[in-house]
Amino acid sequence: MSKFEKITINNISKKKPRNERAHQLKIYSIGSVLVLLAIVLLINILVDKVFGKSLTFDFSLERSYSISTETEKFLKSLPSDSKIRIVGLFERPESLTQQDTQKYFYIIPLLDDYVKKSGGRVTVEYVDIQKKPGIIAELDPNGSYSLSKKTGSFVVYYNGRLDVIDPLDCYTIDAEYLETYDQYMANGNNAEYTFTNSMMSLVNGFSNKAYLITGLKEDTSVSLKKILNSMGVETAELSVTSGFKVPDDCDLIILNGPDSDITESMYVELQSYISKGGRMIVSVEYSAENASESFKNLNRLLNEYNINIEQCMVAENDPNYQLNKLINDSLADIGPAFTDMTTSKQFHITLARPLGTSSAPKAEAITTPVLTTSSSATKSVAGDNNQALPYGEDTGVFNVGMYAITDSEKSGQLLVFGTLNFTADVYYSDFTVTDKNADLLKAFVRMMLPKTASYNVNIPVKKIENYMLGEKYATTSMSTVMMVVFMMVLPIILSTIAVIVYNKRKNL
Amino acid sequence: MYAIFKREFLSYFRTPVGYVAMAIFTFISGFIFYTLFSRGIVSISEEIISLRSLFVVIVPIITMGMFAEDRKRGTDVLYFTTPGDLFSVVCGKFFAAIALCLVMFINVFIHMIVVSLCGGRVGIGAWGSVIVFFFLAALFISIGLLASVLTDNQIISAIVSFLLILVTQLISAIGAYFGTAASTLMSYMGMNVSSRNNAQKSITNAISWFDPFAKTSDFGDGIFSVSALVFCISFAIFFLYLTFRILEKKRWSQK
Amino acid sequence: MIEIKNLVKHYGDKQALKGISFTVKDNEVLGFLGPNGAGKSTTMNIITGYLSSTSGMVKINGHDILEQPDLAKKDIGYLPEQPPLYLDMTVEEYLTFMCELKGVAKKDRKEHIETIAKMVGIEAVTGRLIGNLSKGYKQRVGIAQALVGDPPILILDEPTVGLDPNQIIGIRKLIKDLSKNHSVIVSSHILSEIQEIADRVVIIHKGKIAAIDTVKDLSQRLTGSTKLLLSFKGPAKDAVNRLTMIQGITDVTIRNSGNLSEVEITTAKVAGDEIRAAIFFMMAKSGWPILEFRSLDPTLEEVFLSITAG
Repeated sequence: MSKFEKITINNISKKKPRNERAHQLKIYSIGSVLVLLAIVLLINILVDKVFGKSLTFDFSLERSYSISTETEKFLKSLPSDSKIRIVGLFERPESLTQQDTQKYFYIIPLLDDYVKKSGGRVTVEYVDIQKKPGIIAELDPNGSYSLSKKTGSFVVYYNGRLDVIDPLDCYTIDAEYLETYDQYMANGNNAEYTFTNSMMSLVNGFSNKAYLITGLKEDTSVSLKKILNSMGVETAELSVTSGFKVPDDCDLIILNGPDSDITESMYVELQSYISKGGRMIVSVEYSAENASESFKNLNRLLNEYNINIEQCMVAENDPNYQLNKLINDSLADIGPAFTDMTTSKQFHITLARPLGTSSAPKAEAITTPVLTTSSSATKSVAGDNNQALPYGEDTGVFNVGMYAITDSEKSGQLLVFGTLNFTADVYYSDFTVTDKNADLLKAFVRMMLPKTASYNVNIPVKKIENYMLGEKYATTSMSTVMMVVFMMVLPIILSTIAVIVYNKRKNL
Repeated sequence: MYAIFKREFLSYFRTPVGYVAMAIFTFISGFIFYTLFSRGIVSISEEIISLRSLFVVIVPIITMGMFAEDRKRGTDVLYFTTPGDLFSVVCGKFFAAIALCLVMFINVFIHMIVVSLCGGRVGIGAWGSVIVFFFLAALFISIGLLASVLTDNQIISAIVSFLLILVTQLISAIGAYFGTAASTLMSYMGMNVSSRNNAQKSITNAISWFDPFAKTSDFGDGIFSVSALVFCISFAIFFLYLTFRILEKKRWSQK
Repeated sequence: MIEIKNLVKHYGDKQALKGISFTVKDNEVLGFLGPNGAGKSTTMNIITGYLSSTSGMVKINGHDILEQPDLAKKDIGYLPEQPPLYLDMTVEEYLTFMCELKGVAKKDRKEHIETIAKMVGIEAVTGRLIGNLSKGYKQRVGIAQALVGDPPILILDEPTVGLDPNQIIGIRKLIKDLSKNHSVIVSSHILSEIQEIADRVVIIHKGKIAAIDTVKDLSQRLTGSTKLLLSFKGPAKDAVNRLTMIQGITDVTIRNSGNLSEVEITTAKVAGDEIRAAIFFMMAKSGWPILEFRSLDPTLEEVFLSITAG
C-alpha cells in the first residue's frame, strides 16, 4: 500500500466517530417522540370524528342547545333524501355574546344540532344578502315574503314552500320586567318549538284552514296568522262584502277584535255554520273605539251559546291581580275546567269586557268559563274624558273568557275572549308569539281542531339561564364595593404578604 | 416526584414569582368580575372564559424558571444523579405549576360565593368553564415547560413560551390565512374555482382544528364534549414527553 | 467499589476521554489529578450519571450505571464543581429536600440532617437562607448534600475550595474518617492536599490516564530510587567516601564543598529508617554536625509537572 493510501485509510477510520450508543439513543428518542405524536393525533381524530357526536353531553339547563327526542323522531320519520334548507339571512357571527348577536345565542347552536342529528336532511347556511342578493330569488321567486327586508331572520325552505322566522319569535319575554323597566328580558327559549313546527308544517302542508273575518274595523292579525301557521293551520281572509258566506273548506272562523258589529246576514251565516259543527273564535275588548258598541248582532249569535258581551269594562281591584296598579291591566285565572290546558294558571288581560250569560241560550249549549277575574272585580265605563267611572253595584268574579260546545250530533264550538290579549298584534308585538297567552290559544285551537294534533309537536319552552343579581345587590354602590375589594384590597393584601414573606426570608 | 413537586410549589411562595402571578390574576379577574357586576348580570362562565386570555401572560411567568434556572445554577445535576427517572421530574414541576393555578383560582371561587350571596346564579356552565380552564392550563403549562427546557436563560424561555401560546391562540386566524394563501397560489397555477375553494376550506379547517379555544368554547354553555378534553390532555402529555426527551438529550449531548 | 472500563467521550470531533479505566476499592480515597481540561470533571460526571459516555462501562458496587441506574445512583453522593444549591431555600429545607430525593425515611430525616450538619460543621447555620451564606459555608452545605443518605461512595470535585485553613483541615479529616467505610474519589488542584489524604492517585492528561499509583510509588517510579540531601559541617570528599560505604547507598554526589558541605545521596530503594540511622550515626562518629537532612524525592507537584509536561 502506498503511503498515500495508508494515510487516507487512517483518516477515514479516524473520522468516523464511535458513538454508536448515542446514535442509537438519538434514533430511539426521535422515533418515540414521532410515534407518540402519531398516537396522539390518531386518538384525537378518533374521538373527535368518529365518537365525537356520542361523546358530547349537554348538561345545560333543559338542554337548551340540543334538540329533543320529539324533534329527532320527526326528523327520522322523513325520507332520507328530504332536504330541509335553513338559511340565515346574515353572516354567521363569530361570537354569540355581543350585544347584537346575543339573540342568536340559543338558536345557532341549536340549528347546528339539527344538522348533526338529522342525518343530512337538514342543512343550515348563512348568507349575507348584500354579498349574495341572488339568494332572495332562489328562495322566494314570487317575492311574496319581502325577504330583502328580513335581514337577520331565518328562512326555512322545503320544496318550494318557505317560512320566515324572526329570532325574536324564539323567546318568551318576561312580562313583569317589561312592565317595570320597559325593556325586553328573555326568560324562555322557544327556538326548538318554532323551528320544528315550522319544518313540520312545511313538510306536511297545512292540515286545516282558518278564515279571519276582515272589514269590521279590526286591527291586523299578523301574529295570529303566524301562530296558526306554526300549527299547520292555513290562514286566509274573509271580507265582509255583500254575500258573506263561510267557505266549505273552513275549519275555523275567527273574528279578531272588531270595533263594529257584524251584519244580520253574517249572523245568519255564522249561526248556520256553527250549528253544522263549525268552530269560531271571537275576541273583543273595551276600548275608546268601541265603547259605544253593544255588538247587538254578535250577541244574538253568542246568546244562543249562553254568552253575552257586555258594554262595559272589567275593573280589577285586587292588587294581587293588578299589573302596575291598574284596574284595566291585570291577571286573570284559568277557569277550573281548563287548568290542564297549559302550565300557566294566570294570563295577562287588558281592557277586558266581562262576558255575561244570556237569558235564552240553546238547550244543548254547554258553556264553561275560561278566564275569570278575582273576587274583587267591579265594572266600569269610560267617562267623557276617558276616565273610568264605576258601573253597576256588582262586585265579584267576572268571566273574561268563555267556551261553549253544543251537546248534539254535530257539535259546534265557540271560544270567546273578552280581551284582545290572545289574538292581537298589539299584544304579541310586545310579548312575542311565544308568550303564555299564545300557549293558551294554541291549546284551545288544538282542542278545537283535533286534526292538528298529529301535525304539531308541543315542545315546551326551555328556561333561559338567568344570571341577574338580586335587586338589593345590583346597585352602583355595591359594585363599587366589589371593585374596591377585588381590584384593590386583594391585590394589595397579596403584595403585602409577598413583601413580608420575602423580607422575612431574605434575612434568614 | 413528590419531592420535586413540593419544592417547586413552595418556591413559588419563597420568591416573588408566585406572588406576581397571583397578583396579576387577582387584579384582572377582579376587574372582569367588577365589570360584570356593574351590569347587574354576572355569568361566572363568561368571566372564566375571559380569563383564558390571561394564559399567554401568566404561564410564561410561572414556567420560565422551571428548567432554565436549574440549568443555569447547576442544580439540574441533582435530577440526573439521584434515583428516580426524569419523567417524574417533569411531572413534578408540571403539577406544581397546576397547583399554583389552583391557588390563583381561589379568586374565582370567591367570586362565585359572592354571586350566590347576592342572589345570582352559578349555573352548570360555570363548572364547565372551570373544568375547561384547568385542562387548558395543563396544555399551556406543558408548552411553557417545553420552552423552559430549551434554554438556560429565563428571559428567552419566557419569550418562547409567550410566542408559542400566542400562536396557539391565533391558530384559527392562521388557518384562515393559510387557506386564502393556498387558494391564491392555486389561482396563479390556473386551477379552477371549485377545487380552489375546496382546497382553501380544507386547509383552513385542518389547521383550525387545532384551536383549543374553539374546541372548548361550548363548555361555558353546559355542553361537555369529551373530545376537547382528550385533545388538551393528549397534547399536554405529548409536550411533557417531548420535554422529558430533551432533558434526557442533555445527558447524551455531543457538545 | 467503582469499576471504570474504557470510558470514551466524544464531543463532536473532539475526544474528551480516550479510554479511561480504573477501579476504586472499598474504603479507600482515590485522588484525581490533572490539568484543566484533562477530563476530570467529565469523568466524574459520567460516573455519577450526569453525562453519558460515548462508550465504556461504569459499575457502582456491581450495578451498571446505564442498566441499573436507580440502584447505582442510590449508592453515590456527588459534589460537583459548582455545588447544586438552591439559594432560595434554607439549609434545613434544602437538606430535607435532598433526603426526599435520595429516599431517606421520613422518621430518620431530622436526626440524619443534624448528624451531617455536625460532620461538616454547619450546625450553626441550618436555619439560614443558603443565598445568605458565605462561600465557605455554601461549600460545606454542598458537601453535606453529598453525604445525605449516607451513600457508600462519595465523589467530591474540589471539596475544599473557598474554605479557610481551619475549615480545610476539618474537611480533610472528615474525608479521612469517611474513607474508613466509604469509597471516596477526590479531585483537587491542591496537590499537597491530595498527597495528604489520598491513598492512591490517578493522573489524567489529555483524556488518558497518565499515571495511577500510590503517592510514594509514583514519585519512586519517576526516579526509580530515593534521593537525600545532606548539609553538614565538614569535608565533603571524606564524607563521600564514608557514605558510599553504607549499605544501600548507590551514589553520592557533591553539591557544595567548603565549610558548609552539601551532598546528594542516592539510595537503591526507598530510604527507610535503617539507612538514615546509619548515616546519622556515621556523621556523628565522624564529628560532622548535620545541619539539614531531607528527602529530595520529587514532590507530587514535580511528578505531576513532569508527567503532564508533554
